Amino acid sequence: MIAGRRRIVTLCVCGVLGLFPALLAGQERPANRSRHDHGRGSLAVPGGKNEAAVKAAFQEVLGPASAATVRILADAREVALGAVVGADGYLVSKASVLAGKITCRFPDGTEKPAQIVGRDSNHDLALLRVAAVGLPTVPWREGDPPLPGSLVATSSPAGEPVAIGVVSTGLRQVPAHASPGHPRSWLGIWLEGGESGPGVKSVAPNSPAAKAGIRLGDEILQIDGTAMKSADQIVQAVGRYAPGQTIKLLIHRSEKDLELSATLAPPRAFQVESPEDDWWGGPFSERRWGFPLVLPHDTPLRPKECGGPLVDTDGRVVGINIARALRVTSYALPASVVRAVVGELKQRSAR
Amino acid sequence: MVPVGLDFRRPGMILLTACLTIGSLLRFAAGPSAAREPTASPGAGSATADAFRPPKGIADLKALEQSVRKTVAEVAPSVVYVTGGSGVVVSSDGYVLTVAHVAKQAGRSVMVVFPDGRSARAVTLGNDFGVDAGMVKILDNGPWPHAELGGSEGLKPGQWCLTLGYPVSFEHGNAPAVRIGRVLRNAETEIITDCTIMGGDSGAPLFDLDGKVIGIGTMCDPALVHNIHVPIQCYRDDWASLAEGEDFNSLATQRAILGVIPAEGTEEPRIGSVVPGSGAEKGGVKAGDVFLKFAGRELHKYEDLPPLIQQHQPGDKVEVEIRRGDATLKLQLTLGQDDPGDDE
Repeated sequence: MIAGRRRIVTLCVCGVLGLFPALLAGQERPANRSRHDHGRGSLAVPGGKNEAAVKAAFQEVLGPASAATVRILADAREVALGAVVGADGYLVSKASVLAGKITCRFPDGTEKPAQIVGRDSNHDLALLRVAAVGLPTVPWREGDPPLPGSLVATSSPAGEPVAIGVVSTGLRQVPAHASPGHPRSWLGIWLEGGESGPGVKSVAPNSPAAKAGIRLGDEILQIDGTAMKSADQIVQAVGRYAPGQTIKLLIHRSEKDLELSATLAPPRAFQVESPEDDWWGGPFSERRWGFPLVLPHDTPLRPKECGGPLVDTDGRVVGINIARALRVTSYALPASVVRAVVGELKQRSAR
Repeated sequence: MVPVGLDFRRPGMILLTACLTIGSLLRFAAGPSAAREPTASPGAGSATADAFRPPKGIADLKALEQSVRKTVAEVAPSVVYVTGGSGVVVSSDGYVLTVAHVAKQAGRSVMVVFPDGRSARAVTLGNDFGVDAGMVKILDNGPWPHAELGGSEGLKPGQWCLTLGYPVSFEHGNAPAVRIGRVLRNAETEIITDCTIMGGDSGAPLFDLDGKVIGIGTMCDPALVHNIHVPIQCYRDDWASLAEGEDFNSLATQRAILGVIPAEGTEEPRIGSVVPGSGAEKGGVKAGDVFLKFAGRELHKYEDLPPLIQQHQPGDKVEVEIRRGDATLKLQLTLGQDDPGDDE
């Protein structure tokens, strides 16, 4: 591990050197730089795949998709893109970045407040609704997703795509923890044995547990319907979920049982790093693990550029970008998955 | 950690193995086709003729997409996982190109895994640690799916290219992950592209749109548009030595080092910071200085500097001319020694 870190440190200095990385091998990197908040550099280099001429060429087919792409603001901060999926005001976006007052900014510049109709934590997809009718909706691609090597663009409300890339592989599952070194999810409680179930000894401030309303002395009876008999069992159960996923806890408090929902976070100490991040290209989406099915593509996106449409060269929407995952990869939820989840969330909200 | 990173050019290792013996054994084991450089068309073929022009419209992009998809379908079966990285099979009898920092040393046993899940026993052949070129030979009987060698000397900035490999978190034994990009710079010992590569892509082939191998992934740096590939010409030049299992150009040989880090956001040779204890610091170089001349040679951009440094030996005294504010100064600097052994 130490050797690995050294190598990375070396590489970082190499990076500063740009084209002559071997020159300073062995030197420490400048102290004020973290490998996660710098180094993307400009993507629009002359002669590069994302130079203006390439994006302009793709833009020819992006009209309908761009018209259905919105920018999502949470408490007035840009956090994601979104896609209009229903003319009567339904949109989708990336669930885990939506907190606070949500606003959609449409291509014509108008802003509308949005309600979160439902969240699917498995896919990290949220269904939103704004008060509107007759909105242009995304033109879905029917049938199979495009083959590896197919060109894709991430549409933006501005018309010019955010960036282009290619489909990297067929559909794949992304495990909750991609490597043994990857940290588990964090709930933010300390536990001790209790009479009916393990008891909460302490709750970390601002933790998922605190936000969910878990209190000192609560006894945890169940997580998502599974009975919890010991503190270890709870730790293991929580560790099986990805950060960003929501769990239901059945709590025993003052002679009563109550149900609380907590959205898990990555553990604090590891929040910004995992072994896969060692090659720069970040920042990455915080929730980038644990997807049942994604289409990996190589488009360099920022986390706040996820949540909107990924479009093929016919202008059809092949999926919704759901995570900036690795230096080389962003993930999109395939169109078929998004449409199914939207249907479920609509049904759920109607009940 | 399982995947060896896409790290820097590793320090060379002292040659311990009887390389020629390995080569001879291999030829015996592999049959007659043996260790000759595969014949190949050297570069700019038909599909690449227009490949460096920016697309004029969606029709051009669709044509590009067709070429990329066709290439992916053709070459993907030859893109393999090699213990610790990626590689590409370039002959039916199983010669595999990778990088030296994956192969590490001649004569090591490694595993090669194809995208269809088949795996084969292999042995590392020679390594050029100078440019990070490495070669591996599959020991099991072929024929193996393989890609053709292209040429790297004629590559033009702007030319489209693609890479396939097994970056960390993409499991081997499955289809390799495809990335697209364009050649941004083509130099004697490195091709820079915006085809993103990362850990696990060490040894991943870079293809032109004819499906020919034009480079092999070696390093990346923080910028997404700085992905570094060993030009295929480096393999062609030393094919016989690599195939015979010779480890050479070990970085244990001394490299001169100045100890400056360029300033960002400028084309000119401006110094961003000076490495403490380096010859640059001892000689009086300060952050913000702009190098005008190095050993009598004029500099126009920072990139001009490192090759000039490399023309010297550690310990050499060099006169440099710098601009500091409105003043022009001459300084005597003593070059230090890069210590690659520090990194193990």
